[in-house]
Amino acid sequence: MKNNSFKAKYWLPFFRVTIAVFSIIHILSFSRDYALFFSGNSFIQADVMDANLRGVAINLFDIHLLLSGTTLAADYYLLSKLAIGVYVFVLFCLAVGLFTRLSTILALLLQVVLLDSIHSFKYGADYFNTILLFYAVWAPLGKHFSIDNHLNFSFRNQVESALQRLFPANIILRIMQIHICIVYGFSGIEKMTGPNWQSGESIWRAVHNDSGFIDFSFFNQFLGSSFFWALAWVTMLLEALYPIMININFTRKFWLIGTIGMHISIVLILGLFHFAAIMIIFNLVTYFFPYVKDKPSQRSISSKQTFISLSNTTL
Amino acid sequence: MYNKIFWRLPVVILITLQLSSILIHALSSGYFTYQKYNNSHDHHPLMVYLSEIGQTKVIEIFGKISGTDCGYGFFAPNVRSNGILIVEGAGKKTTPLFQTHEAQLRFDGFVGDLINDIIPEKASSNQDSLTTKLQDRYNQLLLKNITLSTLQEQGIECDNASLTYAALNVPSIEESQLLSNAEIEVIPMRKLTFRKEINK
Repeated sequence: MKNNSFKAKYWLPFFRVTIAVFSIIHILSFSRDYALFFSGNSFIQADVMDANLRGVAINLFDIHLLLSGTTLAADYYLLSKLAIGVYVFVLFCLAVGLFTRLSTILALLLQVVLLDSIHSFKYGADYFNTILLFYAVWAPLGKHFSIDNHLNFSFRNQVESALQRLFPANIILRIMQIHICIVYGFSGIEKMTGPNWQSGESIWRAVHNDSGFIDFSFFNQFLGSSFFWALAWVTMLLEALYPIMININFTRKFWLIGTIGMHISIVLILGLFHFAAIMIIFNLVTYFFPYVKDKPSQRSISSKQTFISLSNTTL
Repeated sequence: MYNKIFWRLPVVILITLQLSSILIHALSSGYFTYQKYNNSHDHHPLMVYLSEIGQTKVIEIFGKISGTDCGYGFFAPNVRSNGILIVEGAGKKTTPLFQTHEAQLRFDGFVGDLINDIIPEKASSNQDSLTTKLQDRYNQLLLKNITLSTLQEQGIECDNASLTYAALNVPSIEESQLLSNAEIEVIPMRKLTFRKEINK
């Protein structure tokens, strides 16, 4: 498939809506525990958390210091909740495609600030949330099925067309594809270096870590067989061969199904729902929607037939 | 021609920065995780150089904004043991409690990370680098914060409190085959005690 034939009308709106909805769910999923993370009575005080940052990013504590003397400086929790509120609002704008580019930039900055404020509690899903929001900034996400399409601001249109010329959607998609291939390639190879992965012990440990949604004690009946060893090697090969197999037309769908299946298993075994969700979104955006084929419409078929019959007549 | 270069330059800069950041962080993270797992301090100069590049301001800031400042060796080279924090005060034993699964997950991840950084009391030696010792002091400060918050949150008032940091060790396949009743073992790794000033 040629570069310029990627179906932008499918992958761009899917990317925009899913990354926005995911980010909203992700930040609101622990709202009942915000006080333990973002308030003055949090588990780790904001100044202590800030002490371990190397000062390369602005977090809520820095903003709190900047606002000294104002009401917001007096109440760190209020500032945090305000930042989360604005973050959710810009994500909503992104989801519906309202001021898409600006909303995406604000969403990325707020996500980095909020998560850096609790950096000790960050995990894989947060990093991939940042990664996808970063790509969302460059991709023309408001191009299809957005409110922006119905607004006719000449200045915005000019800026948008210049940005689309500077950062073509196909090139952004290619970078995302290279990125996801590096992610799985490294993950598979690094696992292969671990003796516990080579022996299957890691799968055994994972299912017994008691973090998932299902009791996997029935797996004990496979003790003494090669079950755990085989499962470990399937996981490692699925990841390590991803960069090759996902780029071959024939094997792409099998690898996508396998990879998505692996992430669903991670939800069941380790309870990492958000991590699995963002990885599935990343997979679908990069290797499913760009390759969706249009069904030939009745009109185009009939016009083709007319063309053929006309040609025959001429001949 | 100059017009074409002008329009292509920004995307070329973006591609260069993005791919450099991804590769630098993925390579150095993977390598140093592997070295740490194997307890090796003999690092390849190229990887040390790469890690230094990753710590330059430009790459660090770019990595932070683009989310590429991390490695991709999920659960590699080993699925680690989960950790548990047990807070004791006024004769009561407790652990931090959360209302949401997501908050619990974040906290468990943090506790798991401490396993990699924590220095068991007896193992601490003069060979530890200044950075390691500083990180250990910082971790102690985090644990002190958590102890105080947990006691306050659960309304436990006391003069002395302690926090036991334990690893939950899943028996291996071999152990489980030999012993049918092998269960998850709680292995205390470190106990920190705090006096009354924590309530001030």
